[in-house]
Amino acid sequence: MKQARIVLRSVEKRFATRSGTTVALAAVDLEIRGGEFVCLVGPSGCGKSTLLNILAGFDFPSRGSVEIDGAIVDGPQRRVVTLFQSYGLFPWRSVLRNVEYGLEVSGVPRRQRRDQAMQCLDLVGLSSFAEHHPHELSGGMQQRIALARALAVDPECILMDEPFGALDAITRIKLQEELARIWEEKRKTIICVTHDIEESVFLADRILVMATNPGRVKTVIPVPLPRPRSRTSPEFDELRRRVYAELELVHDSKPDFEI
Amino acid sequence: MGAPPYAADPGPSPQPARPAEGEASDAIALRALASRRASSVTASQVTRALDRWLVPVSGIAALVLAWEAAAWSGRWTAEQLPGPIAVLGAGAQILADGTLFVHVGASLARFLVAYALAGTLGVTLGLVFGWRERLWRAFDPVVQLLRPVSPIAWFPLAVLWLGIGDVPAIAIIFLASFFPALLSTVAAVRRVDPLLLRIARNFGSSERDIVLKVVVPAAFPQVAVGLHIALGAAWVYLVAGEMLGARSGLGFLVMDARNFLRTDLLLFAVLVIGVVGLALDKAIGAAERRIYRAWGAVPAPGDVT
Repeated sequence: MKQARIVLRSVEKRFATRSGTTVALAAVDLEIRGGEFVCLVGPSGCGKSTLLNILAGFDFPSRGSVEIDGAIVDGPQRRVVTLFQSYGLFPWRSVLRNVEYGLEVSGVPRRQRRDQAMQCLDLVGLSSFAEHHPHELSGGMQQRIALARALAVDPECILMDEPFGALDAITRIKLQEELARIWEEKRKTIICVTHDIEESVFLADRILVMATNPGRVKTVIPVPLPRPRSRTSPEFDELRRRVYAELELVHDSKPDFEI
Repeated sequence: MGAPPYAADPGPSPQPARPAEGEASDAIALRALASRRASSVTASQVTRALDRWLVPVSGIAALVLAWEAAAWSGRWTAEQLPGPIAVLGAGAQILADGTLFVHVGASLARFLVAYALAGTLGVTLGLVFGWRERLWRAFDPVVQLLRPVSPIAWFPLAVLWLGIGDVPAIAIIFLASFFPALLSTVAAVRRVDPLLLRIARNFGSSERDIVLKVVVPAAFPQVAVGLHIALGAAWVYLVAGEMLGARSGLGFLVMDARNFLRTDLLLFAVLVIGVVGLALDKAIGAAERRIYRAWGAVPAPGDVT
């Protein structure tokens, strides 16, 4: 099982606008170990989605380069699969045929892809829904199917763009626990953009806190907590507080406004 | 369709158990709603059945009555306006001697050939044009220029180029149904969710796979709607097309009845055109709903099951 080691060398992204150029991302240098779980948090406009799109090969840096396992990213590739907030399942395909999709287009024989897809469905606990269609399932189940579809092609890296953003709080917590379990089993490199600070502390080995104007990585917070993690431990709380502080969302005693 | 006999079921029906998560799935809510409705009392079922059948039938009944009254009023001669009974008599005649079936058969054959051609060509070209944005920009002006022209405007040229008989009739029907098929397919392809295309690319799909495994199925429900519209247009212009020297078909029947001043036969032909058109529409409507259900899309408006 291969795991991607990702190296970003002064990756920059600029957009031409009517009023000149906007720097969406300024000189990001970063190294992500193979099998590492990294979360990107930050306010909107900090370039975290841009960064993810560049890693996925959907977008290209204006300057600098991205290497995954020593190969420069020059477009979307099967070994780096992205999960989206709105799942993106094929509504006309059954759950099983959705999970099979990646194997089907890479020419895996029917028998084998069926077996592999069923294994992945088992992993997300939905093998009994193989013959259902996506619209018959809840949002949380649909995202688990999308995860199974990604895992089916045995990628080296999974990118996630606010994967649980559309789900209610309880479903989200359940899915985070499931993702943590699957990650520990499969040890894929995962890079996950999130708005949910608790989610980042629960899941990540490292949290990259990003900032705006220009979009950049402001701080890297390692999360040395043992797994499985307890959301209610004081250490968890301490780290969560630190992320809040880095995002300038903590108002200790002094108000950040004047009357 | 009659409701199944749930009347004996007392009290609220149990909701179907489903191992879903905390979040309510729409499907569960819908099913619960449906079973609650089905378990209501017999009286309301009777009312519903009456409502379903009697109301639409009453409109037709009113039309027939008004027609009969107009025919009896003496304002018009029997040649100008034959009554419903006379029309049915004329119908019985051509039904008995089998000519009706010959004409309906001839019309359906022309219709099917032209519609199949227009559908195949329209959808195929629509896929190409919808997928290749540049190509569409080149051809869009041509299509926009030709589309508003009524197929009837082509009549003289159709006869000049294609002679009289089957071929110009098929050409006219083709023209009427080609543009709706083409344009709805182009629109459907261009409206495919870009997220699905992204995902397909992410999995390393070849362009062929993207088109066949993602674009075609994603666009299909909307293409089906276009084919439905095309079918209506094809049937409307069938009658006109068959006036171009065809020796059979419902359009010919109309012209033939006119030439012999058989207005009773003419009105019967009009009725048959309406009934067959309605049947075709219902058939494709049913196919469309099946597609929608299979695709997991929202059912078309007016879809009551």
